[in-house]
Amino acid sequence: VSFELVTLPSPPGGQAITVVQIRGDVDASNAAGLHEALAELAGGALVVDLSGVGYFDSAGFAVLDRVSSRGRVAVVVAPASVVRKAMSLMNLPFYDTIDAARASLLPA
Amino acid sequence: MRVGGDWYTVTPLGPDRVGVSAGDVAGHGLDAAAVMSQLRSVLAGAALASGDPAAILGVLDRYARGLPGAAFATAACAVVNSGAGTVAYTSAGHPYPLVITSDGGTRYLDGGRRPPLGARSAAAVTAAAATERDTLPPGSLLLLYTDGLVERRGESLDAGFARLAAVAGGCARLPAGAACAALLARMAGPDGYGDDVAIVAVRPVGTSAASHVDAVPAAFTEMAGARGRLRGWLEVLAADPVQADEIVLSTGEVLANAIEHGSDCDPDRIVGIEAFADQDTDTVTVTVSDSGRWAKDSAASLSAGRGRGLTLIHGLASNVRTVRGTFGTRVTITCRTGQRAPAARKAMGK
Repeated sequence: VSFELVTLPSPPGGQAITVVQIRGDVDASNAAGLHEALAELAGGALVVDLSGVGYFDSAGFAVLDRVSSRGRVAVVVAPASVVRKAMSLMNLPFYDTIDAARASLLPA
Repeated sequence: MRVGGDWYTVTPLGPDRVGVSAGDVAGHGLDAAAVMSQLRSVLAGAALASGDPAAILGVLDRYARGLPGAAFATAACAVVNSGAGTVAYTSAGHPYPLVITSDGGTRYLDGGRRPPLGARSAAAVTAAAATERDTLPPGSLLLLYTDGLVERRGESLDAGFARLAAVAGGCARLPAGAACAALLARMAGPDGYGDDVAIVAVRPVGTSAASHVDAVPAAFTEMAGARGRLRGWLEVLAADPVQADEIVLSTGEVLANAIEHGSDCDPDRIVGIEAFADQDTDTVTVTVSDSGRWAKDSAASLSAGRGRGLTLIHGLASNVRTVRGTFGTRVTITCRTGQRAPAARKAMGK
């Protein structure tokens, strides 16, 4: 299994928030790699968009939990995503859209 | 401790083939157990060397002739080929192996007969039974057992066989381990069993419209392939794609637990997946079996992440059942398939 991280360009004049989309599959065989990659990015504010993953299990959710607990991280799961129900069972905060997640990380 | 002369063996012979036997040494106690132990080893060795049931029992017969106490031992030997969906078998004076198809049908494999092992009469020595062949469709169970399972005082052997077939038909869609347990429980007489009993059930890897059976080496890297094969079956079933994703995820979580906690991530150990579709209730039942006892399972491992997996399993499946026994751990989940309309199913070639 493999996943891919795609970093989206920031909007011009926008705040320094990194937006990264995860594509592919994440399970116990590669979750450690995901943690490594996200931990590097989570130095600043980070939006992680899960909407495009094909498979994402508890090993992946554990990574999100760890990364979120150590930095300013907001997770996006679009309503039609395959992980939407699993995400809602996990009791971790998430947003429907990248814009909503980005807004949550801006200073109030 | 009670010991006896009944045995079974399961010997992997290759990626698609497994040898299985059940046998019975005359007598009881330590002497019978010592003879049994030798026969069992020779049988497994002969299976690895030959792979042909008649040849295997031929070797066992010649060995038994020189082994005090082995005369008139009986054995049934079968080689299952899951790739071809076939079973090759021979019986030496032993009760017939039974095939139980996933629709509840039963069929005794009553060919390939030869006299008991180690008999010295001229007729017995020259009787070289040929290997008999039969089909073993996907989802079916092959059952080998010893006569203690079917014999009851005051009852003919035929009545015992009829009873076993009737009871076994009701176990057709149980996972193999559960089928053995259920058969042992349901075949016992009012006072239990009068004799020793050995029983072994094999369900070959393979997929049909009604069932999906997989054997997964216990390594995380094997999970994606197993999920893909399960997904392929759910597509054939025309399961609703959202439901299919949930079935794949909840099965994936159970599989990850079986690999990590039930098998210590040892790829030489195998995790079994046995899934059945129930068209009447639009559900699938998936059982994941491992050979472990979850020895290192603890509150610490729960908090470290397994709790999250269990939350997913219980949140996605409508029913979850865990059985931990001597032979390992078995988790059965039931999920809705939300199948498309029958017309759509037909169009899929179902």
